[in-house]
Amino acid sequence: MTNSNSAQTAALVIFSVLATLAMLLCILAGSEPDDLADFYTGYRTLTPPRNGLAIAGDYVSAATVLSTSGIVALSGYDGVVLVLSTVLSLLLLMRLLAEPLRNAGKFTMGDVLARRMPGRAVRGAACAVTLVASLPFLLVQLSVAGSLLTFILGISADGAKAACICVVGALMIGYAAVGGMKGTALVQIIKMVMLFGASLAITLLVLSRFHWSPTALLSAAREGSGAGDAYLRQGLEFGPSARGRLDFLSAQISVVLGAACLPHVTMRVHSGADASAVRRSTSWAVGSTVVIALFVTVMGTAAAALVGNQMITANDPQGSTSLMLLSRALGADYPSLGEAVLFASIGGAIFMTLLTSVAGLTLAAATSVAHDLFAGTVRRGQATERGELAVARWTILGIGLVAIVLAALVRNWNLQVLIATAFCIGASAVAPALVYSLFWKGFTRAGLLCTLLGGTACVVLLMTFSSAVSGTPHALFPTHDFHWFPLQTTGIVSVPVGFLSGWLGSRVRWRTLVGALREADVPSG
Amino acid sequence: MTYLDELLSLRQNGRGRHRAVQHKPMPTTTTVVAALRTGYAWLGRTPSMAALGGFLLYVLLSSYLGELMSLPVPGLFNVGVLLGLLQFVGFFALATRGPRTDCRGDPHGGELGEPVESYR
Repeated sequence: MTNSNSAQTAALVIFSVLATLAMLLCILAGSEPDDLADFYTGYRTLTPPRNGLAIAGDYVSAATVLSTSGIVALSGYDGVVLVLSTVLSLLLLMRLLAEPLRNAGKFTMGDVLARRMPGRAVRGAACAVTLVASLPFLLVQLSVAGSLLTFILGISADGAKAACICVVGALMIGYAAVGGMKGTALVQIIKMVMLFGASLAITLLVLSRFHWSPTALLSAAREGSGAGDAYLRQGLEFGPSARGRLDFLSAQISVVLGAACLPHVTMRVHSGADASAVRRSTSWAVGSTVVIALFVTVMGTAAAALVGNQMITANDPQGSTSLMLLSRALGADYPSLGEAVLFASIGGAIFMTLLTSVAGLTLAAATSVAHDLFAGTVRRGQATERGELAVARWTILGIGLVAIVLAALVRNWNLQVLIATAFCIGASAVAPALVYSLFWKGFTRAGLLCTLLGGTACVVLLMTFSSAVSGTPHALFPTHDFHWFPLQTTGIVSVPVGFLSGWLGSRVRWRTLVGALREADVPSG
Repeated sequence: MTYLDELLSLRQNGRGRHRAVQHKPMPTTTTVVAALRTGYAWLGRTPSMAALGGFLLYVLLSSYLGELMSLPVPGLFNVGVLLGLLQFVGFFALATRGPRTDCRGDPHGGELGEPVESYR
């Protein structure tokens, strides 16, 4: 099944127009070469609704929309639970942490953590965790961008995917370096409006096709999925065994605690003008995310109903092209023009989502390097604003290039495991560090370092030897088998490890411990 | 002795000044402010924690009590789908309503305002 020529041409034209428009916006909103606060937060000039939409835009990334709709289409009930946990994660961040975060921090996560425990080690660790969490996520987004663009444009050559990754990567570097926080925020707002419009149109078309009856939609999805009643019960994604249930639980814990704690989302909170503005923008952010999530659920179910399991898995085993397949199936009812318009509008919305998610991630990672590592650790707070901003822009280029090269090299691998890794680091290192440092008076610097490094190390270790990396047909290395951790996400183990290591690190009296060790060492040596 | 009495006892003259001697630790406005802060934090956190608890219960029920969740519900297939939809509604309501910052009817907030009012 190939796309019609008119649809591809329309998609290509729309993509070029959107990319140019977004670049123009970034140039117009761009900051002066020595204005740090403008680059990092846009002087907090965005109104609460706009800031809220920008937060939601950063949160609803391309990988989230595409892979979640794919999981809903393929696994039904499990996918809906995943959508719910994604929404709940943002709700918890916004309700519990946003205001204290905004009041405690200036630009980055390092600022929030270093406020109570200043020091180079804290800033260095914060930057390292930001990079370890952001880079895998960035790689996934770029890889998804490559496969989706080749699918939409209907090119199947192997080099085409690498070329698409390079184009998206180059645009991403441009937006992040020129636009800064405010420029990317404007592009995020446009993307949210486009995504909202396109998914509303598709949802309405789907519902009218099933005569506005949820029962009809669900029965059709049950038939189309080929799984029968199991489609509307838990267990299709990880299997009905005891291990599958534990895996399901672990995945939900990781997403609920980790998805919203990723640095590119928490960083957006700092661009709120004051506490009440943050409160109002959180309502906008969570409200719009809930609506988009509901649309994604309906669209995923409709993809199972109208496209069918076989067609979806034939195009992509993880189902990330299911939205495009659905728009094509719906467009077939309205020959030529309708098909092209539907396909191009959802394609345009997804293209913008891809561009903004990679730009937001690069910006967050580069900001952390420039502000925490360069200004806070290397220069010990003595860097000039112009110098720090120059470093931020060069870092965007550096991180962008590294990510493009890596994404192009591993373009044919199954990178789903990297999303899980990013969420698990968010849940096991960032979430405990933020919760403890904002709400627990007894939290110490040693505890903070233990949480950040212990949580991250636990995730990286367990993830490397998990069944998501090796030993299963859908793993990162399907032909190798060196796994001993039976689950696909580490949350159920690494989240308690992260919280516990923070508590232990704060409780242990390190000086006494080191002194005792030295005393014990002196007589023997 | 309520917070109102504590506040009133700070005044040089007027109702409640004699009680200051009975009360050992000198009460200050900060006590009320601290109580207010705890109260508001609790008010803001309870619904969110309830949402988290409810969701975790839903996940556990789905995975370990599948029979209960697949009981039929007319119009929406089964209990699991119905509960999932209800959570969407609940999250949206939580998001849009937001924490109230209206201190009418708030006991501690009222105590802060009252002594000032009574001077007029």
